[in-house]
Amino acid sequence: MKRFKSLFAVLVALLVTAAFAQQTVPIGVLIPLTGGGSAEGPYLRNAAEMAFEEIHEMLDAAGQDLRFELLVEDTRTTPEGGLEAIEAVASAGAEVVIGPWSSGASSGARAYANSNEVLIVSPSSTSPALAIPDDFLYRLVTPDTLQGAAVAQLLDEEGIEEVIIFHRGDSYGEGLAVPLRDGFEERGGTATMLAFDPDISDYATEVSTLAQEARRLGENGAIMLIAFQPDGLNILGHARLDPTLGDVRWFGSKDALSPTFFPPEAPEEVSQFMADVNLTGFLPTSPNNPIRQEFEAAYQERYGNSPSPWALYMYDAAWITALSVISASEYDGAVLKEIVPTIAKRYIGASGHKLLNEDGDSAVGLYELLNAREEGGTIAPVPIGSWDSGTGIITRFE
Amino acid sequence: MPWTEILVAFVTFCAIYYILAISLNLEYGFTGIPNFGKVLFYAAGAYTSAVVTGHLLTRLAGGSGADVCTARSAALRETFAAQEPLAIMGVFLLALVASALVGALLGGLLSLPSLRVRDVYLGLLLLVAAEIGRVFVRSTPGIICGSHGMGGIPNPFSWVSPAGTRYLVYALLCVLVALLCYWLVQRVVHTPWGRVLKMVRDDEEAAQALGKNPAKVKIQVMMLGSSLAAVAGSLYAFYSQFVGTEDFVPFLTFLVLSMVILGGQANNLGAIFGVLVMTAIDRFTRGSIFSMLGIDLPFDVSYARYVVTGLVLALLVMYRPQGLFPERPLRTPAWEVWRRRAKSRA
Amino acid sequence: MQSLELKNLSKRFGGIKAVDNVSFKVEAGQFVGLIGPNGSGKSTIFNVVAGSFPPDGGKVLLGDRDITGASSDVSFKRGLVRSFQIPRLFFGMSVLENVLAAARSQRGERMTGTVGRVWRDQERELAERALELLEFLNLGHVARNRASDLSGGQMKLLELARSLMANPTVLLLDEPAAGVVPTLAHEIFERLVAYQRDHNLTLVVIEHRLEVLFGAADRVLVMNNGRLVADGEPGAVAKDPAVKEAYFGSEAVV
Ligand SMILES: Nc1ncnc2c1ncn2[C@@H]1O[C@H](COP(=O)(O)OP(=O)(O)OP(=O)(O)O)[C@@H](O)[C@H]1O
Ligand SMILES: [Mg+2]
Repeated sequence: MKRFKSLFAVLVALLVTAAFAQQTVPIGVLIPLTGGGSAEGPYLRNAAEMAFEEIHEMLDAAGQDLRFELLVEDTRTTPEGGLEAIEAVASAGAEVVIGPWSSGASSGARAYANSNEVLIVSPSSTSPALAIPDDFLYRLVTPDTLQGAAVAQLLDEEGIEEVIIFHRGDSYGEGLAVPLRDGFEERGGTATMLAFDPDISDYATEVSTLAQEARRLGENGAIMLIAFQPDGLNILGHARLDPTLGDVRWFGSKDALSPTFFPPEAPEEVSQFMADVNLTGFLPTSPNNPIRQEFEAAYQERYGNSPSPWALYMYDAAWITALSVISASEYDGAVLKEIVPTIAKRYIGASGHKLLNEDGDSAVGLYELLNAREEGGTIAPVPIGSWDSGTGIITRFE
Repeated sequence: MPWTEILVAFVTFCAIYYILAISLNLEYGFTGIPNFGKVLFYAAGAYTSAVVTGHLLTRLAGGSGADVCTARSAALRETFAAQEPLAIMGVFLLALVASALVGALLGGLLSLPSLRVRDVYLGLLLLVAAEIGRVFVRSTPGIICGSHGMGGIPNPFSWVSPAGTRYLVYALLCVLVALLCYWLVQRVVHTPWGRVLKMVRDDEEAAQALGKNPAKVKIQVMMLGSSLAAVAGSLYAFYSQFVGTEDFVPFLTFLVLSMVILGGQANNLGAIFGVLVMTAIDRFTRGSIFSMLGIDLPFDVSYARYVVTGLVLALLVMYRPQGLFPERPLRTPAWEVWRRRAKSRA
Repeated sequence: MQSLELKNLSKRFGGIKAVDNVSFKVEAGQFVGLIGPNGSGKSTIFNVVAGSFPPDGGKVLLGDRDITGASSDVSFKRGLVRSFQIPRLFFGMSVLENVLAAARSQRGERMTGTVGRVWRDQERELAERALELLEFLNLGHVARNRASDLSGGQMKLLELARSLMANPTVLLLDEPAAGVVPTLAHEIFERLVAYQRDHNLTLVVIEHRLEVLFGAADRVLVMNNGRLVADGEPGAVAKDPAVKEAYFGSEAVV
């Protein structure tokens, strides 16, 4: 009996020292690896990994033996997948997750996060239905109502009187299209919304419908394309072959102005078309931002391609989360919920300043205005201006 | 106690999937109706629950029924549910019953094609119907918030804390409902009515030549089966507290189908095994689970579930098409007579 | 007790006149044999009469009720039962269940009838009768086997058991003893005659083995190329030159 007791004591001692020595903090990384957002997943994973390597270097330099362990889980880009993923990482000890990326997955994970006090720091999830005060969901992106207002202003300033908003028929597409329409109509313009099914693989029929609509446009008409990469490239590929669509001025949502729409990731002739129709739009990241430039260069060097726009937000989500955990008295979701807004307020990252509003969403919009054009032999998105949500002014660089 | 949470979630989903499995077994295993549109009826239950909760609970909480989709409205329902046990449990029960009714109605409606079209064509037709329904809901903001989906469908035990207990109680409730569904189905199926189902499955024309009305039983089966699927959908909506169209994709139908095939055609007990195995594959092919077990995998397990699910199905079709637990005769009093006569002869 | 009458019945499949203007009346309680070479239209007559598909012309009367084109479940309820030439058993079910499947007026076959206990008592009575029938047809020992595990002959017998279980007033049997060993076939026909006399059953049987049929039937109908070519007592039909021609061609001599 006595022998057992001492054995037991040794065991307990071992466990305790193990627990102390380990000092690893599990963090959930919820990203879409399968399903509708699967193309985005790898960028987000890379961004998170890069951020935590830098964080670990910082901790080393500071003589801290704290280590983060990343629990990467697939959300399958569905609400149930998001829920399942947060259950898995929370069970494995995560008190905070970065991600999910899609609004659907975040919506699925949200109730579990609230009940179990696990904090969600989403880099994206732009659905307006998630703008809820005092819950366990923070979003580092400005709501699309803001981007909608910016595009409406841009159209107005460019002298556009009529616009066809050709958008993904999902929560992302609508979330941007509706505020754009409302904002543009408020400024006296005419807007027509034309949705397309985001899940199909070929858009020939949809583009011919768009062409029909475009024929009705007057002198100062334009098309606004709200798409992700696979659907967007397919649509532009078909539009290129249609004479009507080549005569209209085009605008695009943030993805259409990200590097994924330009060579080498996209066909030459598609970006040529984008330059021909003078495609212009906003990327919701601050221009001339050294942190962003540094991140983009490092990413390019390490992975051989440019990061997606969302990768910038993921990188910032990782840093804000890590800084909050480091300053917290204990690793606990409820404690982190109190700290994150303060850290975010003092934080400027690759995607800009991350001040949060009362709903826990990014409050400061500083967008870069980009235009598809030839520069140095290739066609690329070239910065031509910026927009500031604080002043509501579009500043032109040229 | 990290494993309890994972296990509670696992049990909840097993219960929900089991209801779906016996519902599909009733239609496909017993009656031969290849209802590859199963997910539609599951979605119908989830959405009915969203509508009932959205409109009723919001009004009870003093909000307006006009803007149930907004974040504010969702938050209002959540706070209200945490303070008013009777209100939320009443709304939950009502939603469950309403889902069962809507499911039955929709099942009756969609059983009509099954009277004219057969086999693969019927399966495809129902599969496509489910997808069309999903795309329609997504592109119509007027129907339960369209593509945004609706949140703020509070857990009926929102007032129970801590959360661990709440989820445990809800899991037990799901198990209870699943057992009730099992009991109900077994009760109606181990009867001459169940025999008529199998007759229709094995040879519709011969069944008709023996005076049975295949059209009638198909409608009944689709109504009952769809009603059960809708109950499962309702339980899911109150668990995840959100409904959105992305969840109701054909993959779910095939997951449930593989559970039924694995367990055994027309064998509702065997289906338990199918559900346990497939749900485990579905939920445990996750890096966090392996890291909890101390296993460091050299590859990304996130992509494994589709491969493993496909592999299980392929192996099954190749080596054991009748499933692991073969079909057994229906348990009616006829076998008592048979046993007695066999004994007296011997 | 009902009679069965066909009036100018016709059925075409594409260019083939499978049944061509056939008329006859089977009196209540009569045992009629239906013979004819392969493809002469015998099974098609059964299919049309029992409602598997509607005729192109003509009428079918059950007693004095017109059942032309009525679906098979309706005819069944009126007392008309048919068996299939190629057994159409419920192969996923046990032998006993296959027989029980043919029971009439089992309350529990309605969904609402499964509530309560009445159907259970009915089920016991039906099971007694079904097992008696199975024993009567030498199938008692395989009652619990799956129908798909039976031999070809056993399947035909099970098909017969199922038809008898239905308590028909008019019964159409399509080659009930095909594939059954000859001695057993004879025995089955003897039992069938006994059953038919006992129950005053109106019975039409298609059978290729004339020696088996001729000893049992009251009357024989002969088909050739979709037409009725002879009708009479077995003795007379056997001598009819039209029958010889139908079976062996015009030069044949018996
Ligand atoms: N469902 C059908 N579709 C097309 N043709 C058919 C069909 N049923 C029967 N036939 C044709 O009708 C004719 C009569 O066939 P039927 O089966 O009635 O002959 P039978 O006298 O029963 O022959 P057997 O002695 O071989 O059973 C044949 O030429 C057959 O090919
Ligand atoms: Mg025949």
